[in-house]
Amino acid sequence: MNKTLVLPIFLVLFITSILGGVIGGIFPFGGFFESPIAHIQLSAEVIPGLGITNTSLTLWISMLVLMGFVFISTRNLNEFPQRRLQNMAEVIVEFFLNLSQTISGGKKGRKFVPVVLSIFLCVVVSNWVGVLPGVGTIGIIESAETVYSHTEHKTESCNGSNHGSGHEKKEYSCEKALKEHLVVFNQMPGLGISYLSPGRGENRVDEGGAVVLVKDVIENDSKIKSGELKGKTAGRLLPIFRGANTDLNTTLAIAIVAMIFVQFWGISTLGFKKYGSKFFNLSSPIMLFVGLLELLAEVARVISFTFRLFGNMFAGEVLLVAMMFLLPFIGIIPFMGLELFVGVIQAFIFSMLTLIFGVTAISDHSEH
Amino acid sequence: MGDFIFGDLRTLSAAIAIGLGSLGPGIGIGMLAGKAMEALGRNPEAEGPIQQNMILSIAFAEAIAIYALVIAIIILFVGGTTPPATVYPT
Repeated sequence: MNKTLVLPIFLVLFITSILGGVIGGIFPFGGFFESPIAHIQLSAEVIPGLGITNTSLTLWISMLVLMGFVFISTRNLNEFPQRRLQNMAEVIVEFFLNLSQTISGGKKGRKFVPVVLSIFLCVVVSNWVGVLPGVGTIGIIESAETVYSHTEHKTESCNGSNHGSGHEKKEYSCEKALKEHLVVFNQMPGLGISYLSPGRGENRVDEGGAVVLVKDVIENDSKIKSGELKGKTAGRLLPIFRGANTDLNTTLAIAIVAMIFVQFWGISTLGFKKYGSKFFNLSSPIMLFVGLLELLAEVARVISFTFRLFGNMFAGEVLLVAMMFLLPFIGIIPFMGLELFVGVIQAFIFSMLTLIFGVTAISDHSEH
Repeated sequence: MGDFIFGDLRTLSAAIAIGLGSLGPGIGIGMLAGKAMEALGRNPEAEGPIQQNMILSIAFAEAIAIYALVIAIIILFVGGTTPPATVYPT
């Protein structure tokens, strides 16, 4: 590839993506990509056929990837590695061994390595699997009625309003649920595949609109429901795969496990009484107060672990979605790189902090 | 027009949350990096430990801004139905 070609090609792609996105909609010829913004969902959704959430499924897949990596790299172990995977695994393990021994100051750092290394590998693999193409974009389309009933169950003022109605005609009376946004999909005939229908604007399905409200579809005056627009479906995408750490439950679980291990290390090294005397120090009232604050800090660590990892991963996912909307063709490329980097850094932070808290927990202050 | 600009109180509170919440971490990260550069200039041999510790501390400071971002996203997208004042090209 000629070096002088790189810059013009990049400029052409960049200008195409600006003109084809939202910003180019000003011009009459622009906005041809017409990507509507996806619905941003905080909590993980349960996949209707399987009964598990989409983040659980992705977590299992990343666990399989990690187990495959570990299995392959430990076949036929050789002192001088013939296999590159074994070399890579040795680099990672050595790095964490050195880190533990440096921070704890001696050989007693070895007992931290299994948990710290596991946390690092689990978090980094699930972060990276969450950036793969297809994760978050392939899924099941929920129909307008499903979206309506989900929102109706969640809204407090609408609960119980429809449960008594007869079976012939269901009344759609929940105002909030009727105003939910849906996106229009094109259907490939006979294949059961739908893809995002390029369209522009809201509520103009007949002119190729991309976003409709629930009430336009459910009530009978909608052209989609009456079948006039063949091959189009209005609904909301439920992704089958979604990055595991974009779910608050996963990060909370890892944080709780890390803090339980910190307490375990402290108690097993110092003994229950000595470790407890760090928190319940009965020598003076001030020290008692300090000890109770330390106890509160332990709980705050769980929360800060959880939200640090969750916030970074969820904000990264929202950033990718927003970039796909604003600069449709190439805007997402630098942010994919950022996501990969942030994934490694956050995994490293999590495991390093667990290590530091563990070393602090086994340190004995009364020996000064 | 007034509806479009001001939308809900939700939009305003989300903007304030993330705007004010990233002031502190921004200043903190700047100070951290500045001190790290200073230390690097004084002792170029210690580049490994300095760089590692700097990345670690920056991630700590950034976590505070991430908490503010999570609150802003929760305000915008949870507890109501449509995102307030969504803009679609017409």
